Amino acid sequence: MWQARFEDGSILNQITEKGDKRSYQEVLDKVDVLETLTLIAGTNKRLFNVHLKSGRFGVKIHDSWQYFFFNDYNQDTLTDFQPIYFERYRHDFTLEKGIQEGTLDFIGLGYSAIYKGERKRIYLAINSKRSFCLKVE
Amino acid sequence: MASLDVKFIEWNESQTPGTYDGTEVTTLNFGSTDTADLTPSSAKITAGDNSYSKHIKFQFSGSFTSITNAKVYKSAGTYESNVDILYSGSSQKTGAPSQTTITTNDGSIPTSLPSYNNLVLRVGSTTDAGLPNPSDVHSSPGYYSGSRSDITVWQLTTTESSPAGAGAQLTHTIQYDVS
Repeated sequence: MWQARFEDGSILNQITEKGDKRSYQEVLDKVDVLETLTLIAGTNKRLFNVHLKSGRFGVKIHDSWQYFFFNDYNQDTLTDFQPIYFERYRHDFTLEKGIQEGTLDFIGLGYSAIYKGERKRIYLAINSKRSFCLKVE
Repeated sequence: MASLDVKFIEWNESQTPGTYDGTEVTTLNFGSTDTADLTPSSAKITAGDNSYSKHIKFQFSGSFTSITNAKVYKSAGTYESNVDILYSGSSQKTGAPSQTTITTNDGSIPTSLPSYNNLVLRVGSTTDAGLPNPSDVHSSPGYYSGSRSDITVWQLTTTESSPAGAGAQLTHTIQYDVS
């Protein structure tokens, strides 16, 4: 599930205390004050996050956070961060049997930003085994 | 999050989206008649003819804020010789489906994951902005449940050299991002 932390320290969890699921739209409604977006993944609670003010990614491995930036990052090369969170699904279908149930390809967590005059999508692609890679589109 | 429920919605004859809700179908069988969920053996295509075109929307049901980056392609199986499937990921439905070769910017359906989004989703009049399209919501179990893609048009083409018999088993895939 995702967890959003805002500049005032408030937190919004995707799953409410009652077990209901929030819409991601609630994060987008406060995007101007969004500070970090975290993915809590799997039964081992591996954590991934992205800091929306600096573009810094974090992965918690063995109770220790490891941080990294997009390739040749520096403060001046990326501007206008917008959060990215999505789940990529694939459904197979045959002409004669209709559309099958979808399978999760990966979860995307990151941001889009202006880089060298172009808007780029820069995100972690996290698969069902919690392996991940950094994608730039 | 579980995947969304994705269904085909078909329009036949002079039915027009906006004035007719469409028919939920479970197959995309091609044939020599303009019929939803047709039985191919009862609507055989003469070698050298096209099938009737299919006017289809993809309908997405479940809770979501947006759907983007939708791609459709043939992911497995091999066509028989001199058989092809034409595809258009964004069309206006004008008139009834026919056996006249469709006009499509996309040509044949891609045989691998395309680099561009070939299933058009739009918010309002903004092309390829994603879903939801609140003006085209048809059910309400979820947040924007029931949102639909643009009309897609499909058509199987043959030549006089195409082999007789049932078509090859082909698998297609729809891929999308949901948040």
